[in-house]
Amino acid sequence: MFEQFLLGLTQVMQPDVLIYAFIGVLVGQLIGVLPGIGAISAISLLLPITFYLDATTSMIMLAGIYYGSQYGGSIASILLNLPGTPSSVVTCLEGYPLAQNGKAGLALFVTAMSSFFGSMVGVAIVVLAAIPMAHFALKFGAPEYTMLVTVGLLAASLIGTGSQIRAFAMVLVGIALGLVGADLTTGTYRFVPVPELADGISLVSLAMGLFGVSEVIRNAGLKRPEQAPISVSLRDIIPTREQFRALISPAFRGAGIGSAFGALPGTGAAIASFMAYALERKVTRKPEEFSKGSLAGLSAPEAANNAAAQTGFIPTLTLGIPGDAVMALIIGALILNGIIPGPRLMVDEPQLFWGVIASFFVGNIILLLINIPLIRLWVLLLRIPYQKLFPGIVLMICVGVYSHRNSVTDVVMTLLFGVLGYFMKRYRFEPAPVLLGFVLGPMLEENFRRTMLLYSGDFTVFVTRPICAVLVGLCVLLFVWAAITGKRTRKQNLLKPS
Amino acid sequence: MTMQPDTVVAWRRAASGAILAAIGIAIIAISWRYPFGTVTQMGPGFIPHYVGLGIVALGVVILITDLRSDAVKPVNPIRWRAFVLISAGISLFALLINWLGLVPAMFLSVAVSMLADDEATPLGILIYAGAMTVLGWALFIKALGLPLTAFLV
Repeated sequence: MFEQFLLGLTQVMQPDVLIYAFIGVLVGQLIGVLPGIGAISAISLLLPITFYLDATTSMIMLAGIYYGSQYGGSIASILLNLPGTPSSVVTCLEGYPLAQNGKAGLALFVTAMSSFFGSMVGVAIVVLAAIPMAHFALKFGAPEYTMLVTVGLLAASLIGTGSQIRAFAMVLVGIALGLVGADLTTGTYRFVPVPELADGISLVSLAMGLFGVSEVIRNAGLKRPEQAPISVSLRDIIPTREQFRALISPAFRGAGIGSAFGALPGTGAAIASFMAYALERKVTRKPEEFSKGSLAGLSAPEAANNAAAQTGFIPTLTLGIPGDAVMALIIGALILNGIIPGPRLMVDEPQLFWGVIASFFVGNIILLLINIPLIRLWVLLLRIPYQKLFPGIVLMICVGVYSHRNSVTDVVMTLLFGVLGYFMKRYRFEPAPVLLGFVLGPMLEENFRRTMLLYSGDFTVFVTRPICAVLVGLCVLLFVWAAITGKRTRKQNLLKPS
Repeated sequence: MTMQPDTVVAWRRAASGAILAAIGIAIIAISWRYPFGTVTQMGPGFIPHYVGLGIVALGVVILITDLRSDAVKPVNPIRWRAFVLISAGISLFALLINWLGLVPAMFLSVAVSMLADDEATPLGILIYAGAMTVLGWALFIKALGLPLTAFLV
């Protein structure tokens, strides 16, 4: 596999690919820093541009935005107490108190190092797991895919912080939106009110509407109380030897949790960081430091969300099944570029497969190098009020959606999804499960129908085939887990952001 | 507006579940038109039917739990100004892009959506929308070479 990894590395080191890797991680870090613009909006904004790049380069750039945003997200958390990304909510809990005590530089350094460590563990696992996983996945038939997608959709709704029933309802709404267009098996048009929707709802419209437009409506013209970022002195940023030693096991625990949750379809970086923080609180020998600026409580979730951002590519690249909403968009980008993700990807497109994996390695090194020197620039950017940004975002959304298929209908649909997303949030429905359901829904329907056809409607196939049985077991575990934690979080609401 | 506060609260609590259930019923109603098929030979109506049923079921569960929970989350008033003006900006883009071309569409959509900020001045809007339009033209047409026409009229 090292041979293949080197093949990928030579792919990435070509100047015209490297520049897009750099742009990707830089944009990622930027949007991670800016609260209110997440990786999903940024990737959907750049999706139309990728049609003018080759598939490998686009994937490398989009992936860079995703894991780059994990680095950037912690900066706004530490300096402003505003999480830049969902996965950096817990970073606020320990990072901001540190910054208030004049240790912003130290906090930023520790998060950068923990992020890098977590990412490297994640990348190593991706490299090691890719070949066995893809080989294993070649044995998968329609029943296995049906169950795998089911596990992903269940995990997306059952593990998380919000209401599980609401999230599951949103998964179903996403599946329903995915039904629009021609039925894959019979060619019948379903839910097509206007001929422009015969090809189905555009992923770009859905993502930009739910995440971009609704966010703009929610924030445009909103007066936030002026909050000057805490000034950063770049002296005393290096932890002492003692502090460093105390960080080793939290970082390892975080990276481990992150790798596991990243690789599990349906869960991603945000959940991984919450879990790592919860675990760290339980195992710590210094519980008095927590919520007052614990370095261990800062390091573990950062290692976790970055590890998860990398291992999230394992199901995406080897099975063609996205682990979370961002991965769903990346899968969408691949399909729009004419490449079908799945276990054959590694064999059919080795350059793309290994190029993307090697780019994680290179991208994380770039991120580590630019992280600290660019802090002052990010602090400056944090002073730009949202009022100066949102009209530009509206413009990017309009042109981006329209240029994708030169379709006015798509622009109108984006607006409708924006309105939908705005009201959904008001009634405590999260948009991310909708996107996941939208991408996974057609896969679920196709594989389920094929299974029923092949095994003449016999449902026992899902428990008699060994891999299926394991996946069914996983589903049961998820329900048990949800029943236990659901009760507990309702009582405590420990990790709710302030 | 003349509703009793209690009625308003009850409606707000019931809204998410009720709307969801209504969406589910609509999906079932529409999918009735598509052949249902059998489990072995599923027709195009099979899956939509069950997706609709699932949404109705979850809608009812959410309706019941929301009505039972005593804590009503305070909801901020809808920000109609931003809502209307951002929607108008995007609609204007959709309307103008095939009629006047990219440059007028960009300028007007930015200018109108900027009005969502009640502190924006006419001069500020003119300058900002102008700058955005030039930037957009340079990025989309010159740098990226998207197949879009700057002016159609």
